[in-house]
Amino acid sequence: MPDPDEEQLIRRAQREPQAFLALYERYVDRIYRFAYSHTGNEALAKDVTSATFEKALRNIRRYQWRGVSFGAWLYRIAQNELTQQHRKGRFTTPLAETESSEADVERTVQHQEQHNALQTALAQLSATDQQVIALRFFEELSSTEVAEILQCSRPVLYLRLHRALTRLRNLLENTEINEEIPHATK
Amino acid sequence: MPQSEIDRWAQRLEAGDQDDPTLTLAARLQAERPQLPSTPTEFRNALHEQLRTQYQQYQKEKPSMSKFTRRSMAVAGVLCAAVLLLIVWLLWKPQSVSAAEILARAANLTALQAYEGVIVRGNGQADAYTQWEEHVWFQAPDNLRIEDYSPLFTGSSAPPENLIARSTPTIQISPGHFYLQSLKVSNGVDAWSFDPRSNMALRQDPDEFDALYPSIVFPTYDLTTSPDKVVTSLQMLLDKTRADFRDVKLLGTETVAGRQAYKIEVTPNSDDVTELSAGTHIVLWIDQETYIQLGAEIRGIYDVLLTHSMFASIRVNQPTDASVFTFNPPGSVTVADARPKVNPTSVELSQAWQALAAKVPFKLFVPSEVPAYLKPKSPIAIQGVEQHYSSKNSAVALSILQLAWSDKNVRFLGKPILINGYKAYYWEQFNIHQLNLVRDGTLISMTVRADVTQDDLIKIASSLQEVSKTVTPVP
Repeated sequence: MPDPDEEQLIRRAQREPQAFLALYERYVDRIYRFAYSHTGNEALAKDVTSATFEKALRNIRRYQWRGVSFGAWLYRIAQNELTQQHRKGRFTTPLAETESSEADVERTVQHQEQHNALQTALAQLSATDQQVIALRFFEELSSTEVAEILQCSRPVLYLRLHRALTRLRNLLENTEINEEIPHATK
Repeated sequence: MPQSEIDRWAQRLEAGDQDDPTLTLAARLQAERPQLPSTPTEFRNALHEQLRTQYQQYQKEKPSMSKFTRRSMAVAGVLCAAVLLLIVWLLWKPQSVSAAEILARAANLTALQAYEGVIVRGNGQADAYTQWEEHVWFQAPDNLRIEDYSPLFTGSSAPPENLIARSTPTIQISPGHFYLQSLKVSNGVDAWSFDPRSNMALRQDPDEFDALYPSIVFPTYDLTTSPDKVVTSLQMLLDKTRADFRDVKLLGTETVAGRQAYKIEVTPNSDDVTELSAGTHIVLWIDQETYIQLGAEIRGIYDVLLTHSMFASIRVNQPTDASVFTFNPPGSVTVADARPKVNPTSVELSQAWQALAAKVPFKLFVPSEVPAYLKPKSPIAIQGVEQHYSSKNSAVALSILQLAWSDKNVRFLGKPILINGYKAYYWEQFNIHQLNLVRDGTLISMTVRADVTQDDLIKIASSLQEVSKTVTPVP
């Protein structure tokens, strides 16, 4: 749920630097982690975070409150920035790939702190599926905010979420079966 | 998966339910979200400072547009867009012409080469209102045929024996079972009027064929004449409309004779011409495509229909067989040659006038001062007495019609002038000048189609002398 005071804070941020910096403090960690989770690279995560807040600063006066948190807007800027960075070839995580190759999976897994089956299966999902799952379940954003970030309606968001979770479940089941087979043969 | 199932699934997801493998997985994802590094403090503080500096610079470099300015610009933008849309709409809208423009276009009709149609006409008042049909053919420049079907013969099982149609043996019967009452044919060389009841045919000068229309009536109200006369009368109506500030309204569109027509109402003021008075109004129907006048009606006070004229069918600009514009009277028909003698001697003219003066029950007058370039023809008696004067190209330049006149309530078109103690009315329009004068019970209507001035016409009228045995008309 959006913070009821956030609207006032945004209005002030359109005139006062302090208010904008308050918003920065509120969201910088989440945007940094979001950027890091997609790039797996500290330098790139910093670049994406810096670019996101600089763009937010340049456009804050044009921002219109629509009952969705300011964070959703920042996530959308960050998402666009990530896409641009990916197009420039600055990172090769499966953000824009529909299916991951085995090598990519291996590399992604290496970048993750937890090498469990869930993360392995997640890494095999398409970028679109990863994005919707990450925004909804890892970033602690509401469905309304995720729909706002992805520029789609809530029914479409739920459909995409359901499909992504179904595919993840299938991958997970295959992964777990594969992991069990070696144990059974031992 | 159907949308309704997705909706139910979404509700359970938002409620935190885990009674479905995908919902269980969603809960697991939330619980096992990746542990990501926190934002490096140095970076965090540096970005904070950078944003503070940028914000201040941004405020200095780009002062924000005030809300009022933004709104003003937005309103201006919307207004500009609206004006553009309006212009586009006005350019593309086919029916955006005003009633006055429609009348003006109808009054400047030039593209009409030919038409053939049946006109339903009527006049009278209340239960005395009668209706009849006229079949009209026109082909440019001067071919005209008018067949008048009277209601007098309605119900007859056979046409009168003396009824004659055009040169073909077919008897013309309209769908309304009206039989031919009169026929007028003109082809520019010959002109005939035929009355089946009297079995008489009158041969006329084509130039004088249309001269019998009372000059105070607008042909636009009866339509049964050549289109140029309808157009001329429309021009007069339009001119009066402008001059008298009458109310002209476009009432909408209606179908007349299978064609889409503009319906225009013209409300005259109390100083209107003879046949109209305060409280009456005129309704005209003008073809949307060709601007031909398709109908007219005049209504009096309480909306009583006084006269109407409406095409029941019309074919435009289609060739007509030449036989339609010829008339060959059979041997049984009495033929009278009413063509005036061209270039009569002064003695012949004098005799003709004296003979007519003895014949008609009203006084006749003849001018003694007429410009030398106008050569007189013999006077003729058809409906009243007429005399025409021609200029060099033999076109009728001056026409003088004389009728018995006792209606003192009639008001003439134009401004009043006193000539020899008699009140005359003069008007001019599109090179047509007319002067109407009532003298000793005779209406003298003088029409000039030439570049003559009002003074010229008044001079001719001033020289009128009563025809008697002692008067010798000036050639």
